[in-house]
Amino acid sequence: MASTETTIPDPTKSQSAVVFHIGNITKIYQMGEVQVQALRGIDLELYEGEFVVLLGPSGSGKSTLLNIMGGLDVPTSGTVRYGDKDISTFNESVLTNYRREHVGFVFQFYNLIPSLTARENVVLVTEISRDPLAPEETLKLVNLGDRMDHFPAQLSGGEQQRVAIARAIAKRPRVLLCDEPTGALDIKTGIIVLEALAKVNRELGTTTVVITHNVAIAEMADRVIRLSDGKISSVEVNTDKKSPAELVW
Amino acid sequence: MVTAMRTLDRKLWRDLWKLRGQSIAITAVMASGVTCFLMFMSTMDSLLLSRDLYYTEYRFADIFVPIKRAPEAVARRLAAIDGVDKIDTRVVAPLTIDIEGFHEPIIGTITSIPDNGEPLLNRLYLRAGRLIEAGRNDEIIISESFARAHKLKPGDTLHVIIKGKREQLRIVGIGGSPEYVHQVRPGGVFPDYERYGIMWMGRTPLSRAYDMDGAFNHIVLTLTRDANEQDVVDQIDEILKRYGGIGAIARKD
Repeated sequence: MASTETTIPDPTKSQSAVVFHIGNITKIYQMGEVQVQALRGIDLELYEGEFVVLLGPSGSGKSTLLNIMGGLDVPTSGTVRYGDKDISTFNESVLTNYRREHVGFVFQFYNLIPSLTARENVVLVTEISRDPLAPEETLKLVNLGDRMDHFPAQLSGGEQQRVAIARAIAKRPRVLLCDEPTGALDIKTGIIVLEALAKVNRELGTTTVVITHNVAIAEMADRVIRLSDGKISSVEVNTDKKSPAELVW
Repeated sequence: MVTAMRTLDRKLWRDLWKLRGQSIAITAVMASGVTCFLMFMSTMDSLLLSRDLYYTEYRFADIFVPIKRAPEAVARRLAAIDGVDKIDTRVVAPLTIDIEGFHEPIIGTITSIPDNGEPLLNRLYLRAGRLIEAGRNDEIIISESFARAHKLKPGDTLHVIIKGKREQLRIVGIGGSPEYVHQVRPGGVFPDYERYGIMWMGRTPLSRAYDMDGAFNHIVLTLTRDANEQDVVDQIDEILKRYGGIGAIARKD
């Protein structure tokens, strides 16, 4: 991977709008009498339409950072500006609206509703969204056009994860946050899921952040942000992006 | 939208259908529970209503006062207490009953009723036979449960020992009273209808047998609607202290 170590964004993205501006955030969890510091002063900007991979060992703070960006958690200190608003000051109700209208989540385990078909799992989201994509169109985007009426139990792990991606993007979120989306999948299936994410990023322009342990996945990112012990250890701009099909691990 | 039915509703119905066995079982258990609850509540209401009706129609007393002996004139002082509505004096006494063919000791309580007619309070509910006729000294009415336990009926006779004297008495009626719904012998816990009997006898012969001519040893009374029960009890106790009163007892006690 051709890369340069920097804290300055990719020049090709420099004209893009800033989606997130994260300023010196910390997160401390109180575990009984022990304090665990998950984030120790993170400064970061994410840009419209970029595909970012967050790399780091377990406990480095990747999921905490993702959860704070997604409005699932709040920082102990610092600011998280989304557009012109600081989401760290939002109350529960405003956070719920923020998650509903602006953020799509994809987790390692798909969290599909077993008694609903693939289409209905997506409809569940489009029913409560303002300007959603058609569920069928969304499923076609992740190459599940012929599996819409199957229940999760009738789908493979990769197909289930693609339904989860379709569900996450059906509301046209500005940001798609993925926590180990290929963590439970084999390489072949994982690549199919990554292709779906890349397609969504490319065709819908959704800013996509993917957490992974898998270094190989970094090769398809616009930027790779490495975390270690609650801090950013490096930010690499990838000038030679590979397609998911070219990845090997 | 794919269908008119919202997706969460569809999920609910599918989940219910998938769990239909458990759903039906849970519904049945809940329905049984609610049915039983309503049934018990309804039964309880009916029983309370019946009890209240019985107490009202048979003029169940509000206060009961056992004493050793007091002259009949004292009753007038008691009747004058503010809050007392109706008052009735009686003779209530223990006795031993001897029934042919039954070899265990039987004790009982005998209560006087007017020689001619119904008592003013704690009236009798006759199940068979008749009330006592005036001038007949050997007639008694016995409780229904005692009669059933010993297969006694109007016209039968039995022997009792009153103050050490054996008497033969004739059963003329079988009945009950709100005062003796739960018939438990003194010191007992559970009813024993074979070994404990309730009887009623004319006031004159019973007074004579117990040396209570012109006197009484038990009072029952009802209260006016706005009476203060405790005040009445206190005043009764004060008046009857010198007559061996051991304390008035309110119905609820």
